[in-house]
Amino acid sequence: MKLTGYKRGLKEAGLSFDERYIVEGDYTYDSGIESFEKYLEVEDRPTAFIAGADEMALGIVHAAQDKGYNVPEDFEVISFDNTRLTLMVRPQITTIVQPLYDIGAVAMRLLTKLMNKEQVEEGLEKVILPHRIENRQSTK
Amino acid sequence: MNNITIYDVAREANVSMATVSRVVNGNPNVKPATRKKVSDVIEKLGYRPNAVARGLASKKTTTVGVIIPDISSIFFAELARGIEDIATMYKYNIILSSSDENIDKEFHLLNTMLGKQVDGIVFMGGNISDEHVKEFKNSPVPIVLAGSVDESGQVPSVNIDYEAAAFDAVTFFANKGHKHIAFCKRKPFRAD
Repeated sequence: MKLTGYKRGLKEAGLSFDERYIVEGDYTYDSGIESFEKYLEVEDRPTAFIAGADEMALGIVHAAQDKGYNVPEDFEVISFDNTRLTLMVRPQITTIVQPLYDIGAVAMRLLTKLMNKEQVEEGLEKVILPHRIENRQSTK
Repeated sequence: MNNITIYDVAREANVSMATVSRVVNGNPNVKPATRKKVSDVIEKLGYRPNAVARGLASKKTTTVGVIIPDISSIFFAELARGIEDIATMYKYNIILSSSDENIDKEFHLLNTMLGKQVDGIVFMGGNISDEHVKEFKNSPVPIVLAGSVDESGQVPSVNIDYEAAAFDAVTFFANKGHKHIAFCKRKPFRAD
């Protein structure tokens, strides 16, 4: 899903998709560090990073700082989720807000309706909540 | 304080208490018009059926199973809190277990919870495969996915639009003039 959106975004911006700019991790802090180190070896190294999860973004930021780079001057970073981890690092991370509490609450409310055999309106069994970008200091 | 009783609802809706009970317990043996009238009154008065009475009446527990990849993750902790608050509001207890996103463990937990006769399950997992969908569809109680995408579209779910969100992130950087935009994606959990 995220990869499809990434490719579509590149296409829309007139940029070509390049396998070298995709790194797989397991969404942990360590995999963020590893990802950054892999990217350093790429020719035409990336200048902007989209981390699939906050924890990974923290790894990327710290790995960059450990190598003597500055975020956001040398590399800009954006993450997914907006857990409170994004506020526990400097620079604080620009993030795509995923309303986690609300997702849980709405899922449970939907389940109570289904358990009590209440009518669920058509289309409301697939709930999509809004997301947005929260601008912080890891981007310019 | 909410002292609204089943009697108040029955009187206001001009139906018997048995009818209110049937509506509350999801008994199909109620005319749609009556069901709507009773539901509207319940909403208006803010009636909250007593969980114990409801459980006894329908001979069911009022428990919801929550299957989560890892309870120690801050991400799932925030999700679980939203689940718990609403469950408490509707007087359901929760049984929560971590699956480590291991499919065998996921199915084992699912069956253990069904064995305990939970009334429903909220499931979270990074990889919803065809096998998962098949298993969910065989469940005797409802299952809702939270923050987990079922591409087949057959299981009720609550998410953000991850594709649109990734698109927005790329556009955000492209508009700043970046040409080399990296994406750190998630490794598939199992080799297909």
